[in-house]
Amino acid sequence: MADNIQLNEDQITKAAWSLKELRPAYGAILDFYKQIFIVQEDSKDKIQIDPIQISDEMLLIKANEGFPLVNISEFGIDAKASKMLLIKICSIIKESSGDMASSARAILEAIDAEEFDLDSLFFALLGEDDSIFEKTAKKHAIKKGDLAFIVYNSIKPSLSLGAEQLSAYLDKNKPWGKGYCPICGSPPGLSMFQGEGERFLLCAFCWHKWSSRRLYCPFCDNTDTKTLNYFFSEDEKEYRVDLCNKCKKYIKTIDTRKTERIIYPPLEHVATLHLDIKAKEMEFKSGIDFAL
Amino acid sequence: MNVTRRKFIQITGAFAAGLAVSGLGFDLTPIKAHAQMLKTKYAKETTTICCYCAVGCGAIVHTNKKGDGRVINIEGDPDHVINRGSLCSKGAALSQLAENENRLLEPMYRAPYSKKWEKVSWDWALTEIAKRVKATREASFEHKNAKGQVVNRTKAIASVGSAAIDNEECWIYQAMVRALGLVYVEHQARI
Repeated sequence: MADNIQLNEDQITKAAWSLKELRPAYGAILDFYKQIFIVQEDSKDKIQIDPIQISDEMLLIKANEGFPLVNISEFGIDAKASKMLLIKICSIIKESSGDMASSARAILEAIDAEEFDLDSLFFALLGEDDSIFEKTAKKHAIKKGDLAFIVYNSIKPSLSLGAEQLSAYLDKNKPWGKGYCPICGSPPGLSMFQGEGERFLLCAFCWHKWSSRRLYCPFCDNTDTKTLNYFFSEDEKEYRVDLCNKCKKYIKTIDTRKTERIIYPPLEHVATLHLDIKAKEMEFKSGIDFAL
Repeated sequence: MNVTRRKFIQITGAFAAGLAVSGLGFDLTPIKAHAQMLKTKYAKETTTICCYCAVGCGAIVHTNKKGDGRVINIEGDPDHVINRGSLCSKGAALSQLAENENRLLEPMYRAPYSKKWEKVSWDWALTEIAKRVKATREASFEHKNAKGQVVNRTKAIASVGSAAIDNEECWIYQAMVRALGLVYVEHQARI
């Protein structure tokens, strides 16, 4: 279910504008990511990936064992569309003022000089061996993290569309109930309340959205409400940060019932870094490791 | 340094989540300042069952985690099989059972023909109620009806239950008023 993730350019622009009005501190960050998300959404129309076939027998085994539908390495990628997107993303990044701008410039130059094996990088991101990232980063004097960021964001629309296709295999009458993505097995990056307060989790990797139990920690399966709590601010009622005192991890939650704004989860994620800072001050870790 | 696939995915996943900010040259100072200024409250959630009627809808009670422990909000429990998160208008106002500045904390009495309510003691109020119920019941009690059938009732007293009386309290209460012979027994859950 990726129902509320796909928005058009106008909607993303509007969503970013509303967030900027609310929190001017995020102005530059939102202006930047808005462009990234728009080119990603635009590229979805051009993507062609072969559907992954899963036999009924395999589906049954996976469902019974609680396995995700695919390994990450099984995702299909439209290399041509991803390359076009990567060039657009690099063009946006090179206008930014940070270190990554020089990495983006180096990547664009290497592509022009046909020194960049993009296809291998795309598929290496899904595999177990990241040596090509090491080698490429070293060869072109760019940071490996920058390269991973750019490559990931270029294949992200392929991953989302692949997840959407695969979601047809999921049994809609049987709640998944696990704290990892039913499509690819990655941890959730964000949580949302919708409708009558039903909780959904969003995969940090393929952005698939799945229905989840309301009162539990998706990272350690803790259901003891004495050790689960959350913090929120009266000034930002649509957000809360769910904390698990057992595994000391947190996840940000957007309560869509408490706002009329257009919600585009990737933007909300970017525009709530202050909540990550707060949670880290309280010595909680994100379910997906990152440094601020 | 070689990282495992899992770790690698986590790194890229974190970037994917839009958290690459410092490498892009963004100044985090205003965001850190925003975080410092943000006044936060801590809460915990506990599941419960709505007390009002026999449907037994599930609800989640949000209470203040640090400080007074008071109720912040009560909402329907989306995981509960009975109501899947929805509540009727009374259930939706459940939190007002505990948190309501208009809630009366002392008995109030308005004397016949008086225009104002005045605070009275519980002792006085309970004694007065008992005295008047007893007098009215004795004056109006019907052992038999016009056909000679045993009815043991009074039609001079009626009971209209409060919305804040729960299912179990209602049972005890109606048992008491029926024992007194009341036949006009109603409860707000049905009104």
